[in-house]
Amino acid sequence: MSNKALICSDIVVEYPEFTLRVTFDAQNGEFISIVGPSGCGKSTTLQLISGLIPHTSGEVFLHGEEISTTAVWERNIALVFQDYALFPHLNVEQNVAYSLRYKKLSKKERKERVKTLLELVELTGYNKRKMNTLSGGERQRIAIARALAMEPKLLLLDEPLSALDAKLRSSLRKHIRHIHEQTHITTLYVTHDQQEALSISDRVIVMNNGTIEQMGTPEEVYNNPSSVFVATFMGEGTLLPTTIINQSVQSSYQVVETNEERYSQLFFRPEKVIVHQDRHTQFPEFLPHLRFDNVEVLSREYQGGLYLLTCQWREYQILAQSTHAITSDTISLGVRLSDIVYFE
Amino acid sequence: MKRYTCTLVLALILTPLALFSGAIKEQIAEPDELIVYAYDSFVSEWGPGPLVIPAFEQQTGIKVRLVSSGHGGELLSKLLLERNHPKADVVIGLESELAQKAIDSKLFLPYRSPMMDYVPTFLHFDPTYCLVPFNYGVYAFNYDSHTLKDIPSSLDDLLDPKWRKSIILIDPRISNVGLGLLEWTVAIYGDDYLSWWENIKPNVLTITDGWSSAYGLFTEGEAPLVLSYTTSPVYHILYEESDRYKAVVFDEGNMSVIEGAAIVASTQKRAEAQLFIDFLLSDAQKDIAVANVMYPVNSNTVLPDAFDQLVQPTKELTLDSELVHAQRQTWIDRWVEVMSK
Amino acid sequence: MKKLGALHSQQRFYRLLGLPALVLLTLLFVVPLTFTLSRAFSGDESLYFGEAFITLFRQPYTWTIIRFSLLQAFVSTIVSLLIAFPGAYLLANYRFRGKGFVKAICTLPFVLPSILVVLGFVIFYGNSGILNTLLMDLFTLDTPPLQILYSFKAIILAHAFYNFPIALSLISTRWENLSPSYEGAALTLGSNRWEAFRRITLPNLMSSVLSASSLIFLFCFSSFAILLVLGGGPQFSNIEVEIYRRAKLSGDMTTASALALISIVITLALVLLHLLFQRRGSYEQESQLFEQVNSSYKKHSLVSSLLIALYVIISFGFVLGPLGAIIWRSFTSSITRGGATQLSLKWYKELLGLNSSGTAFISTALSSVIYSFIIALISASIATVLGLMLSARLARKSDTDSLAVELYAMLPMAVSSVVVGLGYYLVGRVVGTTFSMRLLLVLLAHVVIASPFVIRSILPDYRSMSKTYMQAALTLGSTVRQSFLLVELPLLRSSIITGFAFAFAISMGEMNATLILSESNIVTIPVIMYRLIGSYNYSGACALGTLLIGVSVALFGLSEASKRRRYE
Repeated sequence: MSNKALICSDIVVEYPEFTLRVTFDAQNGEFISIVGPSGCGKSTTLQLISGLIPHTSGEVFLHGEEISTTAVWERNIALVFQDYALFPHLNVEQNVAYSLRYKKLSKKERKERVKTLLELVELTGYNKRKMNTLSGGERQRIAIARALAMEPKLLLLDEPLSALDAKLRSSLRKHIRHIHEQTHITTLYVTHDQQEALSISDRVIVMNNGTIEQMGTPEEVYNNPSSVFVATFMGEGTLLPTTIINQSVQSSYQVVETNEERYSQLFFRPEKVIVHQDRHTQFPEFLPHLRFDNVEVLSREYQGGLYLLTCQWREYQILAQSTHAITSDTISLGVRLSDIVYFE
Repeated sequence: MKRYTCTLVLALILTPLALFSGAIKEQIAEPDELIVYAYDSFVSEWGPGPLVIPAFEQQTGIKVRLVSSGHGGELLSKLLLERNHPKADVVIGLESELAQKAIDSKLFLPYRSPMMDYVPTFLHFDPTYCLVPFNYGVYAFNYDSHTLKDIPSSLDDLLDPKWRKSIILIDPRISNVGLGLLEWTVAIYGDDYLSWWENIKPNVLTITDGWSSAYGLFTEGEAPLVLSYTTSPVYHILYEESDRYKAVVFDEGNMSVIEGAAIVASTQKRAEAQLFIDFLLSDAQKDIAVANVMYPVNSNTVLPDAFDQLVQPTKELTLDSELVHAQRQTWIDRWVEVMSK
Repeated sequence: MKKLGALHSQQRFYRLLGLPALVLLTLLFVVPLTFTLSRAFSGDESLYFGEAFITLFRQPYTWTIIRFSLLQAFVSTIVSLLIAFPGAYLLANYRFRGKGFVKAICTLPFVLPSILVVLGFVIFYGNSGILNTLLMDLFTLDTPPLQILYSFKAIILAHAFYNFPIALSLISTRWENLSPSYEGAALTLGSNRWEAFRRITLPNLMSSVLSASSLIFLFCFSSFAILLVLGGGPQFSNIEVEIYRRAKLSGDMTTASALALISIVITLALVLLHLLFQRRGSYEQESQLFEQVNSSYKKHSLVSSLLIALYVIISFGFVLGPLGAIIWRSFTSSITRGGATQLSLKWYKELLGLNSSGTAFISTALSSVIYSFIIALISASIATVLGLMLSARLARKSDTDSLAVELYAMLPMAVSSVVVGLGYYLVGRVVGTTFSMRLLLVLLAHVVIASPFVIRSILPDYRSMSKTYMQAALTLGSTVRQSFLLVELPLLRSSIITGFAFAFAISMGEMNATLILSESNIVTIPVIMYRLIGSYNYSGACALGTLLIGVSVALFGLSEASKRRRYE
């Protein structure tokens, strides 16, 4: 119990579009991402935890204490908003130090703290700058610095990078991760970008329509999705009915997954697909696998070092990844049985 | 910052309260003032009030509080409203046409002041002496002698197209002067008075809501003719040494008006009130005449020379008080109908 | 299990804020109003319940004035819009120096007492006014060429003068905030500039056009002094003038009150309309986050510069003509009436009591200036605080519940000053006539009259302020009250200052209610002006008027300066 920083137990909120129902926990110092499509309730979850929205049932435990009836300003939970909400009438220093007036610090200590924080976000010397002179990336970092100033027990970030361009996003992502490693504050990070979630989190929560579909490490969520939704949301892939197994399975053993009655669909990632374009050589896979012959290549997308091929096999489309260029229009594809995920 | 806002807000709330508490104290004091209701221009700094009141107080030692309460009909209705909690002791500004209504209201105390002996009989408009005259005037059209070459000679003459948009008139519904003209047309034309109004319309520049607006526009030069009094030029002679503005009298006659004062029946200070009326009819006469720019009623009054330069009316018209009382509203309503088309 | 979210405690805080303001409003305004209205139904002994209404509606004249009230308001609104539109276009799409100044000048007529405006019109446009004299001299004419006054035209002109700045301000602000990409998209899709304007820009401006129109219509409908003087007779009379007549003439309070009721019903409907349009407009603006507004200005061409100059000259002439006439008149005097005029400070000297000639009472003008300032300072402060509290209450939610509250708060604006005066008059009879009591009543009347304008300044800004600021402050550790004071208030700084300036100016220029309440001992500047005009001392009135204009300009300069320090 004591190393669980946050426990959300059976939180329920009714909305006209869906019912929000969340139960999860976070370990001390963990970095957890909450991903999902727009409107699935991820920002709402953050607002619930921070106390800005009330919930009708369930409990929230922060470091063992139930906080549902605690006022927002007493919870010591920091929230970085999507629009940063930096106070325009205060300069950088005053914004960052805003929460410090409620802690008993001397003026000197306050100044020190601000200095340390600005160093942490690599904006030393920005103290007297006004909000409207800052760039997007700078604003984001100041917002984080402000949140960290109060030494929160929990840090919540609501899509902090969505307003920035790709390059900036990727560098700031690393930055946020770096800050987390320095401060060890339990962090909840909301994003709609699944790649982002995979790259920086200790664990990922996938949400859809107000419910948590799956919670696990990035590898688990990516490679062993628990539902079609998680599978298709967390990355590209091919979804096929299980009826094709018999038609395409290739195996030297007679071992075949006989769970067909339970499962109706199968799924595999493009990078797990073996691409073979030379007719004259043998297909380069010996372990049990599914083989697709006479596959027509519909389009090729160069992703900078890799090719993503959209292919047509019978009436189905298959996504495959290849490290070298595929010139012929008819190829063969294969995927190991062990790389396939099954769904009901 | 927080601290100061609180004190500021507190101060702002307390100030009115402090004033209010002062109010409570004040209401109890001063029971021995003579309360006189008078019309606005009487009370104002340029009216007779500031001259008459201190003189009276000095002479008799009676303290007077002058309250601005409107003119004529407005004044009477205010008194009617206050019937159950009367405040006034004396009222100034009820003109002769209101005599019947005033008598019927039984609000007033008959008092024939000894000064009435010096007042010509034609001015004793109220036989019961509930209302006594203190001021009288004759309505006349005034003109700007600098700009007007032709001078109108009668009401009919005013209908001539040469006066197009040259006359400033006054609304009879609010102003006594305006009402005076309405009655003037009744006196001259009888039942046919409305056709004069119908025909004067193109010549009217504007119909103002009061005499001072009308006269103000006139002296501004907006139009060369205005409805006013025969005595109005006195002001310019006395204070501006100018005889630019003159009055014109018609052979057919000019309408006259007598203004009266009265003692409120419910007064607790009958003796003081009577003294006031006496004073009004004697020592105050000159100040009143000059300030109001009208004629005094007391024939012994010595007036400044400027009054000699005035044109004297050839014929003064009046209407029967009972007729006015009965017909006034009808005349006004008809007038409204004709003028608002 | 009931949970206390921050939302709930926020709502509670704001609801509490609004409460004292509403209570005060009820006491100060609704109570006198009910006095007035109850008389409408049962007045003197001779009338039975509601007879006044029946009599009124039987008279054709009543219908004439109702018709005329609506007609002149309608035409005035259209004319105001037409004058304002080109200006709005220029202000919104071009950047040029002195924009703030132009805006401030245009707001000026609004806070001046209508009697001053009327005076200015007479001096400027009158038959012997500056304009006509100039033209007659230039072209050696005998009769004044521009006989505008004392007619329907004059009413419309004066109303447009007063009100076109409202349309100018509302429409240009909205236009400025429109994303330029809408028009750009229309152009690429094949519309020419005029079509793009008609089909895309104009519909988007509609909410502000309607909002401005309803407000202007309201003000023109309840206009009083302008119709009284510049109209010129019973055929140009509206309901307010009629109320005044009835109340003054025969003390026919019953009919006056009945008319007041009719007037209130119509104006309430107009205020409701205006509020609805206003809401639609302000929520449309919220969706824009960090727009860069500056980059959307068009470049100057010769034509556009000329147009700007032309419009500025015309609108300035239009606005400054009468005002300039007043200022001019205050600095000139003539030895004898009709003699040559020369520059002199005679009237100002009299004002300060340094000269004692003729009308002795100008010397009390100095005390009236002091009175006016003190009353304005106190009433503006109270009105600003109240308006702020009410705005906080109203900005939170947009449901029907708060629409009712908003309507209630805007009531004083809906009801004409004549009706307000009437109400206070009736209250005054009951409450007492001591000096302090009257002063208090005047103060409170000013607070009530000014607070809707404070709300109008603060509320739109408040509504379009992002809600996340408050939320961020809460998570950072400050309570709702602290967050309100530390974060929301500073962000509203410029609109609070504007609201205060407005309230101050309105109090300085308020005449109708003050006149009724003050009798002869509490005199403010407008009251003295009224008397000066009454004793046909126009020049003295102009001197006081110039003082008022100067104060108002200073106030608006102050509020514009505070606006320049924008944060976003």
